[in-house]
Amino acid sequence: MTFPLNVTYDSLHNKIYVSIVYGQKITVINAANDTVLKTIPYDTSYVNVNLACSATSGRLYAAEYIIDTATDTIVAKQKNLAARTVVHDPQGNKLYAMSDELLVINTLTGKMEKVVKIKNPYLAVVNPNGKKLFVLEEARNYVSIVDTTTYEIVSRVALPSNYAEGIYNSVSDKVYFFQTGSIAGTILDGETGVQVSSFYSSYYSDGKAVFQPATNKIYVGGWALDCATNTVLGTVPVKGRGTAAPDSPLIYFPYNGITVFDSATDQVVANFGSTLAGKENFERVAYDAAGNRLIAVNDTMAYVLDATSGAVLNTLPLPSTGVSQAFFNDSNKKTLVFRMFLGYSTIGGVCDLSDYATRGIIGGDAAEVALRVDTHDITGGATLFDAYSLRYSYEKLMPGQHIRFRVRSAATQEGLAAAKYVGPDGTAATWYDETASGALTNAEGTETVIPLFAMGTQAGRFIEIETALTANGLSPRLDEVKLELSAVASPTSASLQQLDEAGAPVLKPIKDATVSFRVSGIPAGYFAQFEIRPKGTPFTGESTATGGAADASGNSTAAVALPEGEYQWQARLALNADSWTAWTQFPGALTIDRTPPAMGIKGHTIMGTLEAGARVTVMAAAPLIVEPVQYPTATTWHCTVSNLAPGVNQVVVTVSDEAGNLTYTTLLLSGY
Amino acid sequence: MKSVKEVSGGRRPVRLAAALILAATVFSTTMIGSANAVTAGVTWSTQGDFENNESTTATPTARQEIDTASAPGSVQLGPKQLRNNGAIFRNNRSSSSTAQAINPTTNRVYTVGDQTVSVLDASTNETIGFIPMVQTPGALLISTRTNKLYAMNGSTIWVYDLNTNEYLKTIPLTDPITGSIYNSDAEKVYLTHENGTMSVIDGAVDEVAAKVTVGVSPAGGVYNTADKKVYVLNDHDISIVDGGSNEIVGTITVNDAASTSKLVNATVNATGSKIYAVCGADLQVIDVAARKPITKLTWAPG
Repeated sequence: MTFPLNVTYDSLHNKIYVSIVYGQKITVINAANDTVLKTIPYDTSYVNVNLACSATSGRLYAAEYIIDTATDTIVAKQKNLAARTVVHDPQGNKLYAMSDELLVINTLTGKMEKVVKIKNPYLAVVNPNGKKLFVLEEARNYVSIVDTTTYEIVSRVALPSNYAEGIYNSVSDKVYFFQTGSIAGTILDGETGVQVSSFYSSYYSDGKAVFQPATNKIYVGGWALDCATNTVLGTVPVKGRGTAAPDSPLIYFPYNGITVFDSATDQVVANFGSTLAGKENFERVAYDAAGNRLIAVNDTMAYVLDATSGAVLNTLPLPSTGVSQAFFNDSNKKTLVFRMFLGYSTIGGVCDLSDYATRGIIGGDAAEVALRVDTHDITGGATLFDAYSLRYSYEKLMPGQHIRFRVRSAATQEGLAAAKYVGPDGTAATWYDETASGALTNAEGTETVIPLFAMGTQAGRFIEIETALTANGLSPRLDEVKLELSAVASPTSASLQQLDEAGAPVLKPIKDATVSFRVSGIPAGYFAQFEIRPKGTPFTGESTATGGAADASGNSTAAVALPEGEYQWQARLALNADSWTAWTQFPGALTIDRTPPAMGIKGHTIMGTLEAGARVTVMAAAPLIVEPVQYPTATTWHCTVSNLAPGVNQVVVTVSDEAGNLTYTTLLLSGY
Repeated sequence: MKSVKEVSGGRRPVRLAAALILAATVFSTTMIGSANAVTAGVTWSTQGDFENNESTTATPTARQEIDTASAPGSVQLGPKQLRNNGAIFRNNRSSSSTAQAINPTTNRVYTVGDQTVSVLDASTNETIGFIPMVQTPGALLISTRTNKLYAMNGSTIWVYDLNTNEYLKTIPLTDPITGSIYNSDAEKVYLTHENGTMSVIDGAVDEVAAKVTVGVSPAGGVYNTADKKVYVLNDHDISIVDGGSNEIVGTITVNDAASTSKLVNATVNATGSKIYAVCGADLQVIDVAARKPITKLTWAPG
């Protein structure tokens, strides 16, 4: 029998809405004349549908339906974001929630991506590659197998009984389902879903199973199942939903703190965290194999422990109460913590637990972000700079979010890779952080400047910044980072000097064995480097001489023995072998000349007298050049012989008179 | 800020900066404050492992997109079986306070679930959170002025601050609640009881301030902001209570006392001139000024 029950008024459109019990409809009445305008049918399982009308949004809310009060049509249904349990894919990127239907939630975006029409699913088991989902249905005696690439139900398998826990055996590719109130279990083929075997136990399951592939065993409710034979081995002194180590037979149970259990011997090998506050409430333990860390979560805190010693490395508050799962993703060094709501369902969120480690930095989807600066390129050749601050801006941080930096520098890329990131105290233990407390709450867009105390002028050629973004369910967003450098100025040309061995400025060519190159006005701690090249040879930027440490007068000098020749040179300041300023070239000239000057005697003029009518002949071997004999008067003559070689040069002089008499002699001429 | 070193004759140091826009859409390398700026050999990169860096120098790098848009969200999943529940009241009555309630100021819709109330952002139709309840409430009432939620079941009211979604206090009553009414002018909450009384809660302190005797088997009602009166639905008539003094100032007879049709729900129009009250199979339209029904709409039995 139908009858009206609930009534509400729409002040926006002056209409009355009346819900009809059992009628699955709403009557719309025009309040201006009190006549029926329309009937809105809808399909609901609720008998008594309450009505709430919002003039603000122009919507009528009737059970799960949202109705546009302008058109009186159903425009949406409320999403029922409620869940009995959740599981995640192997990467932690997808969350499968057992709600009224199976909800697929992307944990990277926090958005629900898909609804798989399996009514009231009870639990789900994900296979190792994440492509198949075995969903135990509401009655718990059917399994729907879902292809997670298409989210299609590829098959539906009847089970022999009702089950309450399931786990995947990656060794045999089987799915094990357990009962909680009885002693039976069933095993399905992981590919086909067909039941292939069953097992029986005299013990009860607690609904929390863990599989250790190294030993092919399942532990559930304090007892062990050998999956090779599917026989129950007996009880073990651990309970709870443990986490199997992928690199050993160990299982970490959130039991009495953290109990480390060796599945090879079925013995407890260690116990950690039993003295921690809240240890009795540890819900899950995540394991970071590469980092050898355990992340144990309880209602309010995450504890990061050394997996070997159990030492507490870090603690992080968690944003809301209740935890159902914690999963360490080695690929991005994030720990995915699924938060429970009222200890019953979950929220998805990423909580970074790795930012205190030397690696593994989160920030949005990119786990690590680095800025590397080759300061040599920036500063025009200089590597001597003062990296004095980081300047960065970000969106307003939420409580628990944190942005921090560390820096490192080195002269080479290889050195950079080996260098440690350091914070303000020069060690890796600290971070550059405005407050060091993680409580940055500057208004959006505020620019924050952090002095780089540990850098200063010790910085090498390369500097690299490490950024750590700590999320609190939602990653902070860093908008911009600036590294501010002050390059140390190169020496002025006026401060460059060249000195001879007597200490006098060299202003002309010198023959000294050594020349002193000097830069004056150098601060204590610095020294000069020089590049001296023959004139005309390009500078390479490589130092060829190094001055001593600056003396009391601020002079750094290098005495350099140079061969003869003309030179050009430049100088720069250096703090160490890898940190220097840009070069400054000496504006003057430098000439080294140790060669004595030549006398230039290249020829002789021979002269003599003769009787009238006589003639003179001068002969010499090449390359001597004999000029023609000249007769200034009838009885005198002279002749020039040039191009003399150094040393003795022989010349033959012959005189003949008109009668034909000859006189000759050999002259030796010296060349120099 | 650390002082800048200067050497060799006081030449001003060159101040340079390298910057990366990490999250914006355009990559840039920025140098600031430099009169002698040179091309920056700056390289940003993502590093898979900071202790084993790949070469990232030598050539200026193209933008490395950092997809912060894919930062994880915080989807909340509430307890299983979110449902409506408006059946706590006698004879399947509910009142203007229903298992769904709206605060038009914040544009949030609150719906009862299992030991929770879900919070829907009406602008996006997305559930944005859940409020844990001490018990599963049978009805909700919202103070739009103080943004408080009154969740009730049996003879108990739990008060929550909707600004923080935190529990504030419990108001214990001696009689089971059959309906609730909110007086936004005087910030009062009225709770009707089967025994013919109505508790008046002072919303400023959330304590019982008075108890008023109304009619037979009252079950909620409606507050009329136009005349500042509370109209309490009794079985067959409506008690008119002054919103300020809590005194009965009149009665509207709706049907005969022998009728099997009883008043169960009501609302008032924007001007306060008409009250629409569900009574059996009828929707009674009541003239507030005349204090009598003027017409009715009847649903045929289905």
